[in-house]
Amino acid sequence: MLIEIENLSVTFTAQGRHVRAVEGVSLNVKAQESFGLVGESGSGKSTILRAICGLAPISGGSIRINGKPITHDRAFSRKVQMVFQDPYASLHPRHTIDRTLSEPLAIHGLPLTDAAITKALTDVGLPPNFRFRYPHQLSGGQRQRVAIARALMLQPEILLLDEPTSALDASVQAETLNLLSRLRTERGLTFLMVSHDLAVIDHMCDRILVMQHGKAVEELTREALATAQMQTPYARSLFAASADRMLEG
Amino acid sequence: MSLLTVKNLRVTFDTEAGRVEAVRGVSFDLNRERLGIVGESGSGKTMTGRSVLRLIRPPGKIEADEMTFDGIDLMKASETQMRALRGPRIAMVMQDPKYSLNPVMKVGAQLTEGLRQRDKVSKSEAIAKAIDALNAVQIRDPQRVMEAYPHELSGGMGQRVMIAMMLIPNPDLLIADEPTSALDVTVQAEVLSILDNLVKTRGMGLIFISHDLRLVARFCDRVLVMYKGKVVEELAAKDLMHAKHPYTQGLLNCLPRIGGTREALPSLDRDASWAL
Repeated sequence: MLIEIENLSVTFTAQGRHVRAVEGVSLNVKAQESFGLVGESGSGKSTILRAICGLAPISGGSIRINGKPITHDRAFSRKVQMVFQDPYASLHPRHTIDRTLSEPLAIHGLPLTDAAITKALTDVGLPPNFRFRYPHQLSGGQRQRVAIARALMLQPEILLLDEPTSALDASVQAETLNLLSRLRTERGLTFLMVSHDLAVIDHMCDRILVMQHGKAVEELTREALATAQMQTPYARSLFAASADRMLEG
Repeated sequence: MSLLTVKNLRVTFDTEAGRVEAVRGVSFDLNRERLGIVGESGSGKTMTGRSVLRLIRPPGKIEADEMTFDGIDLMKASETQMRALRGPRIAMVMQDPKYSLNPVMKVGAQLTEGLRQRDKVSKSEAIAKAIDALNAVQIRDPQRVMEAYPHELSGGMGQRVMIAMMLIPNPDLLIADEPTSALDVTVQAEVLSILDNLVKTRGMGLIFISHDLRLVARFCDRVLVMYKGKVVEELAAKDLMHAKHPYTQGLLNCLPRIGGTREALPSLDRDASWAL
Protein backbone atom coordinates (compact mmCIF):
# COMPACT_ATOMS: atom_id res chain seq x y z
CA MET A 1 0.00 0.00 0.00
CA LEU A 2 1.29 3.42 -0.95
CA ILE A 3 -0.95 5.49 1.32
CA GLU A 4 -2.21 3.99 4.58
CA ILE A 5 -4.51 6.08 6.72
CA GLU A 6 -5.52 4.48 9.98
CA ASN A 7 -8.13 5.76 12.38
CA LEU A 8 -7.42 9.37 11.42
CA SER A 9 -9.02 12.11 13.50
CA VAL A 10 -8.75 15.84 12.95
CA THR A 11 -10.02 18.23 15.60
CA PHE A 12 -10.10 22.00 15.24
CA THR A 13 -10.18 24.06 18.41
CA ALA A 14 -11.46 27.62 18.38
CA GLN A 15 -12.47 29.68 21.41
CA GLY A 16 -12.66 26.61 23.59
CA ARG A 17 -14.97 24.81 21.16
CA HIS A 18 -13.83 21.56 19.60
CA VAL A 19 -14.96 20.66 16.12
CA ARG A 20 -14.23 17.10 15.09
CA ALA A 21 -13.88 17.41 11.33
CA VAL A 22 -12.66 13.86 10.79
CA GLU A 23 -13.33 10.97 13.18
CA GLY A 24 -11.59 7.63 12.93
CA VAL A 25 -11.33 7.32 9.16
CA SER A 26 -9.20 4.56 7.67
CA LEU A 27 -8.34 4.02 4.03
CA ASN A 28 -5.62 2.49 1.87
CA VAL A 29 -4.52 3.50 -1.59
CA LYS A 30 -2.36 1.25 -3.75
CA ALA A 31 0.40 2.61 -5.95
CA GLN A 32 -0.97 3.94 -9.27
CA GLU A 33 -4.52 3.61 -8.03
CA SER A 34 -7.08 6.40 -8.20
CA PHE A 35 -9.11 6.69 -5.00
CA GLY A 36 -12.11 8.99 -4.58
CA LEU A 37 -13.65 10.67 -1.54
CA VAL A 38 -17.26 11.82 -1.82
CA GLY A 39 -19.70 13.44 0.55
CA GLU A 40 -21.46 16.73 1.21
CA SER A 41 -19.59 19.83 2.32
CA GLY A 42 -18.49 19.56 5.92
CA SER A 43 -18.16 15.79 5.64
CA GLY A 44 -14.41 16.05 6.17
CA LYS A 45 -13.30 14.83 2.75
CA SER A 46 -11.09 17.83 1.98
CA THR A 47 -9.79 17.84 5.54
CA ILE A 48 -8.28 14.41 4.97
CA LEU A 49 -6.27 15.75 2.03
CA ARG A 50 -5.24 18.76 4.07
CA ALA A 51 -4.18 16.52 6.97
CA ILE A 52 -1.94 14.53 4.61
CA CYS A 53 -0.26 17.77 3.54
CA GLY A 54 0.09 19.06 7.09
CA LEU A 55 -2.51 21.79 6.58
CA ALA A 56 -4.87 20.38 9.24
CA PRO A 57 -4.02 19.29 12.80
CA ILE A 58 -4.01 15.52 13.25
CA SER A 59 -5.43 14.66 16.66
CA GLY A 60 -5.42 10.89 16.40
CA GLY A 61 -4.49 7.95 14.22
CA SER A 62 -1.74 7.78 11.67
CA ILE A 63 -0.91 8.45 8.03
CA ARG A 64 1.84 6.37 6.41
CA ILE A 65 3.27 6.62 2.95
CA ASN A 66 5.28 3.63 1.72
CA GLY A 67 4.99 2.25 5.24
CA LYS A 68 6.67 5.24 6.87
CA PRO A 69 4.85 7.78 9.05
CA ILE A 70 4.67 11.09 7.16
CA THR A 71 6.96 13.97 7.97
CA HIS A 72 6.36 17.31 6.34
CA ASP A 73 9.82 17.97 4.95
CA ARG A 74 11.20 18.57 1.48
CA ALA A 75 11.32 14.88 0.67
CA PHE A 76 7.57 14.77 1.35
CA SER A 77 6.75 17.54 -1.08
CA ARG A 78 8.74 15.77 -3.78
CA LYS A 79 6.51 12.79 -3.27
CA VAL A 80 3.10 14.36 -2.64
CA GLN A 81 1.56 17.44 -4.22
CA MET A 82 -1.88 18.98 -4.04
CA VAL A 83 -4.16 20.69 -6.55
CA PHE A 84 -6.77 22.94 -4.95
CA GLN A 85 -10.36 23.61 -5.88
CA ASP A 86 -10.31 27.26 -6.77
CA PRO A 87 -7.83 28.17 -9.50
CA TYR A 88 -8.60 31.84 -8.85
CA ALA A 89 -7.34 31.60 -5.27
CA SER A 90 -4.50 29.10 -5.52
CA LEU A 91 -2.14 31.01 -7.81
CA HIS A 92 -0.23 34.06 -6.60
CA PRO A 93 -1.85 37.02 -8.40
CA ARG A 94 1.39 39.00 -8.67
CA HIS A 95 3.65 36.20 -9.79
CA THR A 96 4.02 35.38 -13.47
CA ILE A 97 3.30 31.81 -14.51
CA ASP A 98 7.07 31.46 -15.01
CA ARG A 99 7.75 32.38 -11.39
CA THR A 100 4.93 30.15 -10.10
CA LEU A 101 6.38 27.17 -11.93
CA SER A 102 10.02 27.97 -11.10
CA GLU A 103 9.52 28.32 -7.39
CA PRO A 104 9.30 24.60 -6.52
CA LEU A 105 12.54 23.99 -8.44
CA ALA A 106 14.28 26.90 -6.75
CA ILE A 107 13.18 25.80 -3.26
CA HIS A 108 14.45 22.30 -3.86
CA GLY A 109 17.70 23.50 -5.41
CA LEU A 110 16.97 21.77 -8.69
CA PRO A 111 18.38 23.02 -11.98
CA LEU A 112 16.16 25.78 -13.28
CA THR A 113 16.10 25.72 -17.03
CA ASP A 114 13.98 27.32 -19.72
CA ALA A 115 13.34 23.89 -21.12
CA ALA A 116 11.87 22.63 -17.83
CA ILE A 117 9.31 25.43 -17.71
CA THR A 118 8.42 25.14 -21.38
CA LYS A 119 7.97 21.39 -21.04
CA ALA A 120 5.82 21.79 -17.95
CA LEU A 121 3.51 24.11 -19.88
CA THR A 122 3.29 21.96 -23.00
CA ASP A 123 2.68 18.85 -20.87
CA VAL A 124 -0.53 20.39 -19.58
CA GLY A 125 -1.53 21.64 -23.02
CA LEU A 126 -0.64 25.31 -22.64
CA PRO A 127 1.39 27.25 -25.21
CA PRO A 128 4.93 28.12 -24.04
CA ASN A 129 4.30 31.84 -24.50
CA PHE A 130 1.98 31.76 -21.46
CA ARG A 131 5.15 31.82 -19.35
CA PHE A 132 5.19 35.54 -18.82
CA ARG A 133 1.51 36.02 -18.26
CA TYR A 134 -0.12 36.71 -14.91
CA PRO A 135 -3.00 34.56 -13.55
CA HIS A 136 -5.60 37.27 -14.28
CA GLN A 137 -4.75 36.97 -17.98
CA LEU A 138 -5.82 33.32 -18.01
CA SER A 139 -9.24 31.67 -17.95
CA GLY A 140 -10.29 29.39 -15.10
CA GLY A 141 -9.43 26.24 -17.04
CA GLN A 142 -6.02 27.59 -18.04
CA ARG A 143 -5.29 28.52 -14.43
CA GLN A 144 -6.20 25.03 -13.26
CA ARG A 145 -3.76 23.67 -15.87
CA VAL A 146 -1.06 25.92 -14.40
CA ALA A 147 -1.91 24.62 -10.91
CA ILE A 148 -1.56 21.04 -12.20
CA ALA A 149 1.73 21.92 -13.93
CA ARG A 150 3.02 23.41 -10.68
CA ALA A 151 2.05 20.30 -8.74
CA LEU A 152 3.97 18.18 -11.25
CA MET A 153 7.18 20.29 -11.25
CA LEU A 154 8.82 18.09 -8.61
CA GLN A 155 7.65 14.89 -10.29
CA PRO A 156 5.65 13.58 -7.35
CA GLU A 157 4.19 10.09 -7.15
CA ILE A 158 0.98 11.16 -5.48
CA LEU A 159 -1.43 13.92 -6.45
CA LEU A 160 -4.05 15.05 -3.97
CA LEU A 161 -6.89 16.60 -5.96
CA ASP A 162 -9.40 18.70 -4.05
CA GLU A 163 -12.45 19.26 -6.31
CA PRO A 164 -10.13 20.07 -9.22
CA THR A 165 -12.93 20.77 -11.70
CA SER A 166 -15.87 22.00 -9.66
CA ALA A 167 -15.15 25.65 -10.49
CA LEU A 168 -15.01 24.95 -14.22
CA ASP A 169 -17.53 24.85 -17.08
CA ALA A 170 -18.65 21.47 -18.44
CA SER A 171 -16.45 21.60 -21.54
CA VAL A 172 -13.42 22.80 -19.57
CA GLN A 173 -14.10 20.17 -16.92
CA ALA A 174 -13.99 17.48 -19.62
CA GLU A 175 -10.66 18.80 -20.91
CA THR A 176 -9.17 18.97 -17.41
CA LEU A 177 -10.34 15.45 -16.49
CA ASN A 178 -8.89 14.13 -19.76
CA LEU A 179 -5.61 15.87 -18.98
CA LEU A 180 -5.47 14.34 -15.49
CA SER A 181 -6.23 10.85 -16.81
CA ARG A 182 -3.54 11.18 -19.47
CA LEU A 183 -0.93 12.40 -16.98
CA ARG A 184 -1.78 9.56 -14.62
CA THR A 185 -1.19 6.92 -17.29
CA GLU A 186 1.93 8.59 -18.66
CA ARG A 187 3.59 9.11 -15.31
CA GLY A 188 2.12 6.30 -13.25
CA LEU A 189 0.66 8.72 -10.73
CA THR A 190 -1.49 7.83 -7.73
CA PHE A 191 -4.57 10.01 -7.24
CA LEU A 192 -6.48 10.72 -4.07
CA MET A 193 -9.36 12.82 -5.30
CA VAL A 194 -12.18 14.67 -3.59
CA SER A 195 -15.40 15.62 -5.35
CA HIS A 196 -19.06 16.07 -4.57
CA ASP A 197 -19.94 15.00 -8.12
CA LEU A 198 -20.43 11.24 -8.21
CA ALA A 199 -20.16 11.21 -12.01
CA VAL A 200 -16.71 12.83 -11.89
CA ILE A 201 -15.56 10.40 -9.19
CA ASP A 202 -16.95 7.45 -11.11
CA HIS A 203 -15.16 8.58 -14.25
CA MET A 204 -11.82 9.04 -12.51
CA CYS A 205 -11.60 6.59 -9.60
CA ASP A 206 -11.29 2.83 -9.05
CA ARG A 207 -12.47 2.86 -5.45
CA ILE A 208 -14.61 5.34 -3.57
CA LEU A 209 -15.11 6.19 0.08
CA VAL A 210 -18.42 7.84 0.98
CA MET A 211 -18.16 10.19 3.97
CA GLN A 212 -20.68 11.97 6.16
CA HIS A 213 -20.19 14.16 9.25
CA GLY A 214 -16.47 13.37 9.39
CA LYS A 215 -16.94 9.61 9.38
CA ALA A 216 -16.45 6.98 6.75
CA VAL A 217 -19.83 5.62 5.70
CA GLU A 218 -19.06 3.05 3.06
CA GLU A 219 -16.31 2.03 0.68
CA LEU A 220 -17.41 1.12 -2.83
CA THR A 221 -15.72 -0.17 -5.92
CA ARG A 222 -16.47 1.51 -9.20
CA GLU A 223 -18.55 -1.48 -10.28
CA ALA A 224 -20.61 -1.37 -7.08
CA LEU A 225 -21.33 2.30 -7.71
CA ALA A 226 -22.33 1.80 -11.34
CA THR A 227 -24.67 -1.03 -10.43
CA ALA A 228 -26.08 0.73 -7.34
CA GLN A 229 -24.90 -1.95 -4.92
CA MET A 230 -24.44 0.31 -1.94
CA GLN A 231 -25.30 -1.02 1.51
CA THR A 232 -25.86 2.07 3.64
CA PRO A 233 -28.87 4.40 3.44
CA TYR A 234 -26.67 7.51 3.16
CA ALA A 235 -24.68 6.22 0.19
CA ARG A 236 -27.97 5.24 -1.38
CA SER A 237 -29.46 8.71 -0.91
CA LEU A 238 -26.35 10.32 -2.37
CA PHE A 239 -26.68 8.03 -5.34
CA ALA A 240 -30.37 8.84 -5.68
CA ALA A 241 -29.62 12.57 -5.64
CA SER A 242 -27.26 11.99 -8.57
CA ALA A 243 -29.79 10.10 -10.67
CA ASP A 244 -29.47 12.63 -13.49
CA ARG A 245 -25.79 11.77 -13.78
CA MET A 246 -26.42 8.18 -14.76
CA LEU A 247 -25.44 6.81 -18.15
CA GLU A 248 -29.02 6.56 -19.33
CA GLY A 249 -31.07 9.61 -18.54
CA MET B 1 -49.61 40.17 -20.96
CA SER B 2 -46.40 38.67 -19.77
CA LEU B 3 -44.65 39.70 -16.58
CA LEU B 4 -41.40 40.57 -18.30
CA THR B 5 -40.76 41.23 -21.98
CA VAL B 6 -37.25 41.66 -23.32
CA LYS B 7 -36.71 42.43 -27.00
CA ASN B 8 -33.33 42.66 -28.68
CA LEU B 9 -31.32 43.34 -25.52
CA ARG B 10 -27.72 44.38 -26.09
CA VAL B 11 -25.04 45.02 -23.48
CA THR B 12 -21.82 46.60 -24.71
CA PHE B 13 -18.65 47.73 -23.01
CA ASP B 14 -16.46 50.38 -24.59
CA THR B 15 -13.00 49.46 -23.41
CA GLU B 16 -9.54 50.62 -24.38
CA ALA B 17 -9.16 47.41 -26.33
CA GLY B 18 -12.32 48.18 -28.30
CA ARG B 19 -16.02 47.50 -28.06
CA VAL B 20 -16.96 44.27 -26.27
CA GLU B 21 -20.46 42.96 -26.88
CA ALA B 22 -21.45 40.88 -23.85
CA VAL B 23 -25.08 40.40 -24.85
CA ARG B 24 -26.07 40.58 -28.51
CA GLY B 25 -29.77 40.75 -29.19
CA VAL B 26 -31.46 38.58 -26.57
CA SER B 27 -35.26 38.41 -26.59
CA PHE B 28 -37.59 36.51 -24.30
CA ASP B 29 -40.92 36.67 -22.48
CA LEU B 30 -41.45 35.56 -18.95
CA ASN B 31 -44.67 34.73 -17.15
CA ARG B 32 -45.09 33.35 -13.68
CA GLU B 33 -42.88 30.38 -14.50
CA ARG B 34 -39.33 29.11 -14.15
CA LEU B 35 -37.10 30.21 -17.00
CA GLY B 36 -33.59 28.80 -17.09
CA ILE B 37 -30.68 30.54 -18.80
CA VAL B 38 -27.71 28.22 -19.38
CA GLY B 39 -24.36 28.73 -20.98
CA GLU B 40 -20.67 28.70 -20.18
CA SER B 41 -18.87 31.48 -18.35
CA GLY B 42 -18.66 34.50 -20.60
CA SER B 43 -21.81 33.61 -22.52
CA GLY B 44 -23.61 36.68 -21.21
CA LYS B 45 -26.16 34.96 -19.00
CA THR B 46 -25.31 36.96 -15.86
CA MET B 47 -25.24 40.20 -17.86
CA THR B 48 -28.72 39.40 -19.18
CA GLY B 49 -29.98 38.94 -15.62
CA ARG B 50 -28.34 42.11 -14.36
CA SER B 51 -29.67 44.14 -17.29
CA VAL B 52 -33.23 43.54 -16.18
CA LEU B 53 -32.39 45.44 -12.98
CA ARG B 54 -30.22 47.90 -14.94
CA LEU B 55 -27.33 46.91 -12.69
CA ILE B 56 -24.55 47.36 -15.21
CA ARG B 57 -21.88 49.87 -14.34
CA PRO B 58 -20.35 52.23 -16.87
CA PRO B 59 -18.62 51.80 -19.28
CA GLY B 60 -21.23 49.09 -19.78
CA LYS B 61 -24.29 50.21 -21.78
CA ILE B 62 -27.70 48.58 -21.99
CA GLU B 63 -29.77 48.93 -25.17
CA ALA B 64 -33.03 47.21 -26.02
CA ASP B 65 -35.95 47.63 -28.38
CA GLU B 66 -38.19 46.86 -25.46
CA MET B 67 -37.77 45.88 -21.84
CA THR B 68 -41.05 45.97 -19.94
CA PHE B 69 -41.82 44.64 -16.50
CA ASP B 70 -45.51 44.52 -15.52
CA GLY B 71 -46.30 47.48 -17.79
CA ILE B 72 -43.31 49.54 -16.64
CA ASP B 73 -40.81 50.53 -19.32
CA LEU B 74 -37.48 49.60 -17.72
CA MET B 75 -35.50 51.43 -20.39
CA LYS B 76 -37.20 54.75 -19.66
CA ALA B 77 -37.67 54.41 -15.89
CA SER B 78 -35.78 56.96 -13.80
CA GLU B 79 -33.15 55.87 -11.33
CA THR B 80 -35.62 56.60 -8.50
CA GLN B 81 -38.23 54.36 -10.13
CA MET B 82 -35.63 51.63 -10.60
CA ARG B 83 -34.66 51.81 -6.93
CA ALA B 84 -38.30 51.33 -6.01
CA LEU B 85 -38.45 48.25 -8.23
CA ARG B 86 -35.22 46.65 -7.07
CA GLY B 87 -36.02 44.53 -4.06
CA PRO B 88 -39.77 44.90 -3.56
CA ARG B 89 -40.74 43.95 -7.15
CA ILE B 90 -37.67 42.39 -8.77
CA ALA B 91 -35.07 40.73 -6.58
CA MET B 92 -31.77 39.12 -7.47
CA VAL B 93 -29.87 36.40 -5.64
CA MET B 94 -26.20 36.66 -6.45
CA GLN B 95 -23.82 33.82 -7.03
CA ASP B 96 -21.54 33.83 -4.06
CA PRO B 97 -22.68 34.50 -0.49
CA LYS B 98 -19.04 35.11 0.46
CA TYR B 99 -18.97 38.28 -1.61
CA SER B 100 -22.58 39.38 -1.52
CA LEU B 101 -23.25 39.56 2.20
CA ASN B 102 -21.72 42.38 4.23
CA PRO B 103 -18.89 40.69 6.16
CA VAL B 104 -18.94 43.12 9.10
CA MET B 105 -22.68 43.18 9.70
CA LYS B 106 -24.67 40.55 11.56
CA VAL B 107 -27.09 38.54 9.45
CA GLY B 108 -30.05 39.83 11.44
CA ALA B 109 -29.10 43.46 10.80
CA GLN B 110 -28.74 42.76 7.07
CA LEU B 111 -32.10 41.02 6.89
CA THR B 112 -33.96 43.79 8.70
CA GLU B 113 -32.17 46.76 7.11
CA GLY B 114 -34.54 46.98 4.14
CA LEU B 115 -37.64 46.66 6.26
CA ARG B 116 -36.48 49.30 8.69
CA GLN B 117 -35.22 51.78 6.07
CA ARG B 118 -37.70 51.29 3.26
CA ASP B 119 -40.86 50.13 4.92
CA LYS B 120 -40.31 51.95 8.24
CA VAL B 121 -41.33 48.86 10.15
CA SER B 122 -40.77 48.70 13.93
CA LYS B 123 -37.70 46.86 15.11
CA SER B 124 -39.56 43.97 16.72
CA GLU B 125 -41.77 43.49 13.68
CA ALA B 126 -38.76 43.54 11.36
CA ILE B 127 -37.03 40.89 13.47
CA ALA B 128 -40.16 38.74 13.46
CA LYS B 129 -40.39 39.00 9.66
CA ALA B 130 -36.70 38.16 9.25
CA ILE B 131 -37.09 35.07 11.43
CA ASP B 132 -40.12 34.01 9.38
CA ALA B 133 -38.07 34.36 6.20
CA LEU B 134 -35.25 32.25 7.68
CA ASN B 135 -37.80 29.62 8.63
CA ALA B 136 -39.18 29.70 5.09
CA VAL B 137 -35.76 28.73 3.73
CA GLN B 138 -35.53 25.96 6.32
CA ILE B 139 -32.83 27.34 8.57
CA ARG B 140 -33.10 25.29 11.72
CA ASP B 141 -31.91 27.77 14.31
CA PRO B 142 -32.95 31.24 13.04
CA GLN B 143 -32.25 33.02 16.34
CA ARG B 144 -28.63 31.92 16.28
CA VAL B 145 -28.23 32.78 12.59
CA MET B 146 -29.63 36.29 13.18
CA GLU B 147 -26.79 36.91 15.63
CA ALA B 148 -24.10 35.39 13.40
CA TYR B 149 -21.69 37.12 11.03
CA PRO B 150 -21.54 35.78 7.45
CA HIS B 151 -18.14 34.09 8.00
CA GLU B 152 -19.70 31.96 10.73
CA LEU B 153 -22.10 30.37 8.24
CA SER B 154 -21.43 27.56 5.81
CA GLY B 155 -21.88 28.14 2.07
CA GLY B 156 -25.29 26.53 2.07
CA MET B 157 -26.49 28.58 5.02
CA GLY B 158 -25.13 31.79 3.47
CA GLN B 159 -26.96 31.04 0.24
CA ARG B 160 -30.21 30.42 2.10
CA VAL B 161 -29.76 33.68 4.02
CA MET B 162 -29.44 35.50 0.69
CA ILE B 163 -32.59 33.87 -0.63
CA ALA B 164 -34.42 34.74 2.60
CA MET B 165 -33.28 38.35 2.27
CA MET B 166 -34.63 38.59 -1.28
CA LEU B 167 -37.96 37.05 -0.31
CA ILE B 168 -38.81 39.35 2.58
CA PRO B 169 -40.36 42.06 0.34
CA ASN B 170 -42.28 39.36 -1.59
CA PRO B 171 -41.05 40.18 -5.12
CA ASP B 172 -42.93 39.34 -8.31
CA LEU B 173 -39.79 38.33 -10.12
CA LEU B 174 -36.69 36.66 -8.71
CA ILE B 175 -33.49 36.50 -10.71
CA ALA B 176 -31.28 33.79 -9.25
CA ASP B 177 -27.73 33.79 -10.57
CA GLU B 178 -26.14 30.38 -9.95
CA PRO B 179 -27.93 30.19 -6.60
CA THR B 180 -26.85 26.63 -5.94
CA SER B 181 -23.48 26.24 -7.61
CA ALA B 182 -21.66 26.72 -4.29
CA LEU B 183 -23.74 23.96 -2.67
CA ASP B 184 -23.57 20.19 -2.73
CA VAL B 185 -26.19 17.95 -4.26
CA THR B 186 -28.20 17.31 -1.12
CA VAL B 187 -28.36 20.99 -0.01
CA GLN B 188 -28.91 21.98 -3.63
CA ALA B 189 -32.06 19.88 -3.72
CA GLU B 190 -33.36 21.65 -0.60
CA VAL B 191 -32.72 25.14 -1.96
CA LEU B 192 -34.40 24.23 -5.25
CA SER B 193 -37.48 22.92 -3.53
CA ILE B 194 -37.67 26.19 -1.57
CA LEU B 195 -37.55 28.19 -4.81
CA ASP B 196 -40.00 25.84 -6.47
CA ASN B 197 -42.42 26.22 -3.62
CA LEU B 198 -42.24 30.00 -3.88
CA VAL B 199 -43.00 29.97 -7.61
CA LYS B 200 -46.00 27.73 -6.98
CA THR B 201 -47.43 29.32 -3.82
CA ARG B 202 -46.63 33.00 -4.40
CA GLY B 203 -46.96 32.93 -8.18
CA MET B 204 -43.51 34.42 -8.54
CA GLY B 205 -41.64 34.53 -11.85
CA LEU B 206 -38.14 33.06 -11.72
CA ILE B 207 -35.13 33.51 -13.96
CA PHE B 208 -32.69 30.77 -13.04
CA ILE B 209 -29.17 31.35 -14.36
CA SER B 210 -26.88 28.33 -14.27
CA HIS B 211 -24.10 26.55 -16.11
CA ASP B 212 -25.46 23.17 -15.00
CA LEU B 213 -27.61 21.77 -17.81
CA ARG B 214 -28.82 18.77 -15.88
CA LEU B 215 -30.00 20.92 -13.02
CA VAL B 216 -31.87 23.29 -15.31
CA ALA B 217 -33.46 20.41 -17.23
CA ARG B 218 -34.82 19.04 -13.98
CA PHE B 219 -35.88 22.26 -12.37
CA CYS B 220 -37.10 24.78 -14.97
CA ASP B 221 -40.07 24.98 -17.32
CA ARG B 222 -38.32 26.62 -20.24
CA VAL B 223 -34.64 27.08 -21.11
CA LEU B 224 -32.61 29.58 -23.10
CA VAL B 225 -29.19 28.33 -24.15
CA MET B 226 -26.70 31.17 -24.57
CA TYR B 227 -23.43 31.19 -26.46
CA LYS B 228 -21.22 34.26 -26.83
CA GLY B 229 -23.97 36.72 -25.97
CA LYS B 230 -26.67 35.16 -28.13
CA VAL B 231 -29.52 32.75 -27.53
CA VAL B 232 -28.69 29.77 -29.75
CA GLU B 233 -31.61 27.63 -28.69
CA GLU B 234 -34.85 28.00 -26.76
CA LEU B 235 -36.73 24.89 -25.70
CA ALA B 236 -38.91 23.28 -23.06
CA ALA B 237 -36.73 22.05 -20.18
CA LYS B 238 -37.97 18.50 -20.52
CA ASP B 239 -36.58 18.42 -24.08
CA LEU B 240 -33.15 19.72 -23.08
CA MET B 241 -31.57 16.27 -23.11
CA HIS B 242 -32.66 15.96 -26.75
CA ALA B 243 -31.46 19.40 -27.78
CA LYS B 244 -31.02 20.12 -31.49
CA HIS B 245 -28.27 22.72 -31.48
CA PRO B 246 -24.76 21.24 -31.73
CA TYR B 247 -23.53 23.54 -28.94
CA THR B 248 -26.15 22.30 -26.48
CA GLN B 249 -25.50 18.71 -27.57
CA GLY B 250 -21.76 19.25 -27.15
CA LEU B 251 -22.21 20.60 -23.64
CA LEU B 252 -24.28 17.55 -22.70
CA ASN B 253 -21.88 15.08 -24.27
CA CYS B 254 -18.81 16.29 -22.42
CA LEU B 255 -20.33 15.48 -19.01
CA PRO B 256 -19.04 12.30 -17.35
CA ARG B 257 -21.70 9.76 -16.43
CA ILE B 258 -21.93 7.18 -13.68
CA GLY B 259 -21.26 3.80 -15.26
CA GLY B 260 -19.82 5.39 -18.41
CA THR B 261 -16.61 4.26 -20.08
CA ARG B 262 -13.20 5.47 -18.98
CA GLU B 263 -12.38 6.78 -22.40
CA ALA B 264 -11.46 10.41 -22.83
CA LEU B 265 -14.52 12.63 -22.58
CA PRO B 266 -15.55 14.21 -25.89
CA SER B 267 -14.39 17.79 -26.09
CA LEU B 268 -16.52 20.58 -27.43
CA ASP B 269 -15.56 21.56 -30.97
CA ARG B 270 -16.79 25.08 -31.38
CA ASP B 271 -18.09 26.12 -34.73
CA ALA B 272 -17.46 29.74 -35.67
CA SER B 273 -20.95 29.93 -37.17
CA TRP B 274 -22.61 29.51 -33.74
CA ALA B 275 -21.47 32.94 -32.72
CA LEU B 276 -22.81 34.67 -35.84
